[in-house]
Amino acid sequence: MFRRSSEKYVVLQDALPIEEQWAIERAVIQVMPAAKPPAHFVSRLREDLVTEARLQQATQQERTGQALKLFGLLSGGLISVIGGLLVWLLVQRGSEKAPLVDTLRGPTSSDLSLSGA
Amino acid sequence: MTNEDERDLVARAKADPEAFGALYERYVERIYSYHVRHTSDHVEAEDLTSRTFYRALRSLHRYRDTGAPFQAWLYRIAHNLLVNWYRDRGNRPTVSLDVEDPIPLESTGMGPEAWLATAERREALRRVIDALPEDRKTLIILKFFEHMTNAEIGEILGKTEGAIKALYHRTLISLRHAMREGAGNVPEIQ
Repeated sequence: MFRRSSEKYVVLQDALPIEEQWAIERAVIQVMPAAKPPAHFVSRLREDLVTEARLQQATQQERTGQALKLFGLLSGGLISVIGGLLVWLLVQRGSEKAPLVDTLRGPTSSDLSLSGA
Repeated sequence: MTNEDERDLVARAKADPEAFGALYERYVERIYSYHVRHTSDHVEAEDLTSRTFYRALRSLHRYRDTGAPFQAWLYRIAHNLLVNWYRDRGNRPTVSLDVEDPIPLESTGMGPEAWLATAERREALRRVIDALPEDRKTLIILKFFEHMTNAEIGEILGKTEGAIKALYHRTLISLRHAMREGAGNVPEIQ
């Protein structure tokens, strides 16, 4: 859509002298005076916000506690599973090594005595 | 309070409700004034102020100190709520009858006619300001009353510094135009 260049860009020759800018600023300040909030509103809102912040903090702590508990349970379970697997592997390896040791060790004295007999 | 103190207060407010209370006390009047200047209505301003601080409380854990002042973050929340407020009201401008108390004649030292003319000019200018688009109104409030830089205003309005500069210029031109010619024949204000 076509737009006039004066709408798109700042027209330099239209620049406002600083005195005029101040005059506009003063005029605007005069018609938009500061408004103070009522004291009872300020104190009531403060109380409400602090209460809400405490509630939010308690909820946050509760959530953190629950998350830690869940993490503890999961990691405990995981450690148990990994520990169980390690024990099982060690037992397996132990039982695989046992016949080999027996072969390497050769016949025992009792075996010899038996064979001699 | 220095910037360092404020940073410290904001950091503490994330975990300490009382520190958030102190932060609230520091900004409540300014945020309230900002909303009153936009809405021209004390009840609406109270509601918007409450919502601004409740939203700030809920989002504070997400606030990251990027070097911009905390007030820019807070005003951004206030601005977003105002954008919704304007949208809900269908962008209808309001007239500030309940906010502005006319300056008493005795305190001005003017004659009745001059006083009346000034009051009319003030009211007319107020109507012009009320009719400004929301972003322009925000701009003049933050510029004239909060004395923010273009960069800070850009942060709040989500615009670049250059865009704010151009918008400010256009706003001044339109205000001057309204004060000189149109909008209820508003002559130059003293």
